[in-house]
Amino acid sequence: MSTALAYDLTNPEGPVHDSPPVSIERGKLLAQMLEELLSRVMSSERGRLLADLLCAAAETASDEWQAQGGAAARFETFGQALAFLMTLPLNLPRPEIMAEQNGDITFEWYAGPRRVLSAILGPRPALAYAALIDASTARGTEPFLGRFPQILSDLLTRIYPERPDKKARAIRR
Amino acid sequence: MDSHRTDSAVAESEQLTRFLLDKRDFDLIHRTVKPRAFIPWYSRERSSFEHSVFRTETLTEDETWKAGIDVAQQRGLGLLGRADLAASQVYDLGLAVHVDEPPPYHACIVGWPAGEDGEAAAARKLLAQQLAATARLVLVLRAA
Repeated sequence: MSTALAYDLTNPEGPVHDSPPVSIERGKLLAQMLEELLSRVMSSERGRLLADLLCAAAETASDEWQAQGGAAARFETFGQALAFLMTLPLNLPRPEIMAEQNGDITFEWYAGPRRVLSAILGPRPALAYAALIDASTARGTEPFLGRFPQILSDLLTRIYPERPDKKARAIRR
Repeated sequence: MDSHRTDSAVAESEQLTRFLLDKRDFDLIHRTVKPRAFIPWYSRERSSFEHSVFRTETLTEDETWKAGIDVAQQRGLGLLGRADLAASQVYDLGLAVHVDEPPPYHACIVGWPAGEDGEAAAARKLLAQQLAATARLVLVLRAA
């Protein structure tokens, strides 16, 4: 009987062990588990956002996008956008996720023509933001180091004042 | 034919129209135009950001929609609606509108902050938000 090589993940520098090959039954079980896991992830709020992000990134790879002079989203930009997505408080309305001409990715919350916030992610660990709230405006850049920026939380509280839960529960990953 | 942008500025009193070909360009709940409809694109040819619009002040409704259909056909898309705004609202934000024909009545919103850095991107996005907030959405009426 053949054997498969397996790494001890808790000891990546350690030796490679022989382990029995995955049987058809176990393979089927694994496939079922994966399918269930993916289905649960993609039907969750964060999963839907991930699907939106994938669509935005995929749009930049289309012929039409590039024929118009658009650039494809860089891997680093996708990584930054994904990291940003993972920090989004789930008590917020779902943002629209869209691509910019240069391949940057924008998350936009739109609650009306004068209640809008856009956060733009590029390949660097920073984000640019712009907001129009009634007669006032705000814009700037912020480092993005894996935590949802306070400035965005503050602006979103003004855009969605009817939402009392400032104590946004952390998103379950 | 090559497009030809002139330095001839469009009068502040004119009406401008942006044709909407993507359903993400407007919000049906609020019946408003979204900032996405006014994001400028960088023209390598002209080394500047610009945004394409039409001067519709002197056009009838039918002529305006006809211009929109031509734009949509050129892109291989359907015409969904249009965003109308006064040129004065563009000038009020420190931008300008220059004649850019052909096609007839075509113009470009110019004077956008240049640069690929985050500050410039945020400034352009804010201007797009402000233009969208002042625009009036007119949807194509479809027979039931």
